[in-house]
Amino acid sequence: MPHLFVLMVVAPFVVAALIPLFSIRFKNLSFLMTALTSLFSFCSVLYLVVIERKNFPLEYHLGGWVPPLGIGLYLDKLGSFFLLLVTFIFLAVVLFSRFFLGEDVEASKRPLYYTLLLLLLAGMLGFILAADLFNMFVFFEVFSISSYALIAASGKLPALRASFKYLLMGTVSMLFMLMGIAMLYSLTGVLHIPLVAKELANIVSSQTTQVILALTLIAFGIEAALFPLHTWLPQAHSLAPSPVSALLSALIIKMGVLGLIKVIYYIFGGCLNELSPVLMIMAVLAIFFGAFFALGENDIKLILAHSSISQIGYMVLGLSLATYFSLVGGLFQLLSHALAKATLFLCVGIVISQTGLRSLKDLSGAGKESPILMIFFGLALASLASLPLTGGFAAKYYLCKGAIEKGAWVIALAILVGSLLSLFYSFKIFSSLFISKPVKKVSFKLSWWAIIPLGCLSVVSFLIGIFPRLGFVLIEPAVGALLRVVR
Amino acid sequence: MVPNYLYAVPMVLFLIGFYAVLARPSLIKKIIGLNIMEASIFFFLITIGYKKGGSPPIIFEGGSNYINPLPQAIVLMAMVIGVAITALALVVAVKIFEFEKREK
Amino acid sequence: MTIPFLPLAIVFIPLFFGILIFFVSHEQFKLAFALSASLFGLFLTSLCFKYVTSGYILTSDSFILAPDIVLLFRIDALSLFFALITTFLWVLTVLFSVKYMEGNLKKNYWAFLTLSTVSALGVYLGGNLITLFLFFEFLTLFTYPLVIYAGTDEAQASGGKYLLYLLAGEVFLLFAVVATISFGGGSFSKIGMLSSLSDFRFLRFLLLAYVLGFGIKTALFPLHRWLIGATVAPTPVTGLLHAVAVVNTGIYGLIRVVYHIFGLDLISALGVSNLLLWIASLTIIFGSVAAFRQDDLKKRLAYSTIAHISYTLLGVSVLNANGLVGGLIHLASHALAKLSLFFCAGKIYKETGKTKVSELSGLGYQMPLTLVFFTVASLALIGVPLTLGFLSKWYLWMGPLETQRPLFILVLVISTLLCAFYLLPIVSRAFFRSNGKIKIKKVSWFYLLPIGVTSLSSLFFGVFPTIFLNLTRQIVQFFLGG
Repeated sequence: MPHLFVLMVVAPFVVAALIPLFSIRFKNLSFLMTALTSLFSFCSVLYLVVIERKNFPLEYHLGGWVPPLGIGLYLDKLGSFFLLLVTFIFLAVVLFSRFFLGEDVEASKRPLYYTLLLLLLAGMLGFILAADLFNMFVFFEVFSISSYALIAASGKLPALRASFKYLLMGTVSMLFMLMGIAMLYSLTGVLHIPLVAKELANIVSSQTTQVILALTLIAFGIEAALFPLHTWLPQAHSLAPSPVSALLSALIIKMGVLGLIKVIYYIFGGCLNELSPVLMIMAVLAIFFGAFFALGENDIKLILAHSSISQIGYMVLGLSLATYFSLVGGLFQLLSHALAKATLFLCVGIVISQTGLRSLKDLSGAGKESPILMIFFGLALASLASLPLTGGFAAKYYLCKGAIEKGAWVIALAILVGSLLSLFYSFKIFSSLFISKPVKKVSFKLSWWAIIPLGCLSVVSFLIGIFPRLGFVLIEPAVGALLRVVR
Repeated sequence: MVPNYLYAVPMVLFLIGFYAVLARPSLIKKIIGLNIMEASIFFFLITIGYKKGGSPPIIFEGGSNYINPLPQAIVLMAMVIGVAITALALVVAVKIFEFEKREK
Repeated sequence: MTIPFLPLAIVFIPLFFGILIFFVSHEQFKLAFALSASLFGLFLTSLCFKYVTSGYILTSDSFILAPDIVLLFRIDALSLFFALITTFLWVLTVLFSVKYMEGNLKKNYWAFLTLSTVSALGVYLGGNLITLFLFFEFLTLFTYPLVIYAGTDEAQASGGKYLLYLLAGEVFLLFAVVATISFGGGSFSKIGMLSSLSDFRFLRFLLLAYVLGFGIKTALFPLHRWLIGATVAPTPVTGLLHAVAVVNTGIYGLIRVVYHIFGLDLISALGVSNLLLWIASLTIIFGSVAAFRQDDLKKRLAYSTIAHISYTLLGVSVLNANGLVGGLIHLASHALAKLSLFFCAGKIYKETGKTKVSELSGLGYQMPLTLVFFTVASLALIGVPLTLGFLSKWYLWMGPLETQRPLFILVLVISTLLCAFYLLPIVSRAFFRSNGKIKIKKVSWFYLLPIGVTSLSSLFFGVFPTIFLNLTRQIVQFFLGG
């Protein structure tokens, strides 16, 4: 099934276009269509990963035109790791949306909400698969624009402001990227990423390449909310409807990280040594500042949003250290953080919508009556705090090991101290929700539409924590692919 | 190929637009800034595709020395995206204005 | 070696019971599971005794969770020494809790008590560094709910301090563990795991990280505040922290670091023995003086723990056989005596509501047996002949003597005197000073069983110390080869 590739990207686009049409007559069809489409993409990714694994890397040329003339889609083991993550979490969030849209999204706007969700999916899938720079840019814009719109979905003033801020920064980042791509094109004459890399290897490093590198790094740095380019994130992530926050925090910023990987490893593979100190400093600053911001917050969603800034730091740190173990750690962090943050934002969504409260002080002891919620929260927070036998622990362990092997003890200590800080803010959330004396008793209502997706996310996250080998199966080949590029 | 100084124009435009986005408090002016940045990149792309004395990239009799069509295709695509973003930004800005008006 | 099943059973059978407690709702079942967990622990641990004293090391299969993250359990003489103390005192703690926690029992007390102790067993039995670390951190996490058990603001604050100190320590420990695994492999199958390294600066840094990591759990001097704060916990839990599980794991870790991870040769070459001795002495003197000045009975005992645990560190860091033996035996004698003292304090609190030393005048007439046991335990802690404490002090004195470091003997003398000064006045006040009757709410004979067993066993083992001496001989042979 060689065309599955294209179908996977095109199907969400088509369905996204159909939903507004159908929803005029059939109000409830939009959820079903979205769920089926995301299920389809999850299954096709599974098929690709399981069955076609041996034929990696897969390449598909649209219309049979071979690059540099045609455009192509390209899937290697790194891409398959991301595809699996994206489609899995997306499916869970879509199912959850059935249970939860609360007051954030009015009933009449639901079809549009689902349309935007599907565009988000299509954009992410395309971004992962795109083999040439310009398509990468286009798909990047597809999911960015839909995420701007989704953040504003509640239509309230703070959300609109957050959305506008994100839109401004995101668009500036997109324009930087486009400028970088244009310059790269003028320098190399091709857009296909492997060809660009090949051409670049022959060109002596000049001011032009440095400018291009700076432009693209800033572009993806904004999207990944890498400190100090993170300023859009806290507001946007905390004011969006909760399922959207989950997607933004678990997946969209990871696309920024993927962009960074593509720039650092695939395009400028040779510049890594000069680049890594800068990235390292930014990453360490991100780890600490994000954690301090999170510690200082009292709004539960803002804590989680700030924690994302800190956790992104680990991933970038893993990339910049560029040893086998640090890359494993970075990707492990990406995996466990995506699972944990998705769970957390969804759970927080339940808490906020059913109590109407956001600050930890008011929420004190609110979760005491619902053990299921406590388990979901507990597992996800444990992973965020990198307690032993969680995904987060394995991630920090390998990152630390990578740093020590490279002789960077200070970085290793910074990683661990940062994880201690993350433990404190996770603990702050947990203790005020489940340990402190209740201000008022709340019993949360959960339907199966909430429990099943949350359960799936938690189970996967738990299994990966207990048997990090499961994560390794996905991550190790990806790391192998990255290291080959560097050498 | 085109002379080097032609590249300077899009760069200056790019920076002007960037300045508007950063420094102007008005949301509309920020959006205009974004559009200026965008236009500068289109300019840049067209410039790098241009050849002195080249003919349009359509095969016709006696045609030779075609200019590169790819940047033009890119510009077309990027324009579409730019329009979408401008539209969205305007919608959000208008909504914000409405809220602020109601508050007053 | 012969029975790979045993090390697994010691950890996992009690663990299984511990998890089971979460899922039963009936109070009697919870107690039954907690008790059987502890009894199984004691039984299985004593099964190993025969094998270990004849020189075997029991090693389980390893579970590879991921590269480097491997669970492996292993029992050598040192593990068994600590595991025996812990499981023995565990049974008594459970028995004491039955009465003490009556009417104040919250949902998960038994579960967390069991899981904490199992984590301590996991630390002792861990066959590689990562297993040790994982259980070390679990220990912190599982004891936390016990520390904040009272639910008051003070308990919450102490709990926060507890977590802050111990987890901060574990950050350094993890750093050291990762570095050791990267450079020397994590398995305890080889003595001197770091001997391949020659960068002394890095090694010293690593040692510092280890000392911080394990030292915070042993409450070394400037890092001891969590242990004092944690006295707000119910008394059996305080006993668990001070004698059964928590501080013991710290000192266990330090012994492993000095003799196993670095190895005798490397530690001597690094020249840090004196530094460790000074840290230990400082802690001893500080703990003793602070205990002397403390009026709250439980806090006085807590400061005394800080001092006495560092005796072991002192014995370990003189780096000779006598010091090591003395340190180990002192750990055992301290655990027995201190648990007994805490139990007495708990009983006194439950039956009279008194927590201050100055309020205990004349109590000896009303609770004679309790105070007699208290006296015996105090004497054992001071090191009066015929108690286990005497034996340990004897070896501890021999240690610095052999290496010509008389200064540290002076430290021991002073702290022994201080120890007598802060424990005996309690006894004399209770027996010889009387100002009216203290109201006793209700007397329970059930308390006297665990109290009696702990305090009399320090007499018993003082007269028949063969069990401990057999084990310490193995340990010395293993680490010092003589």
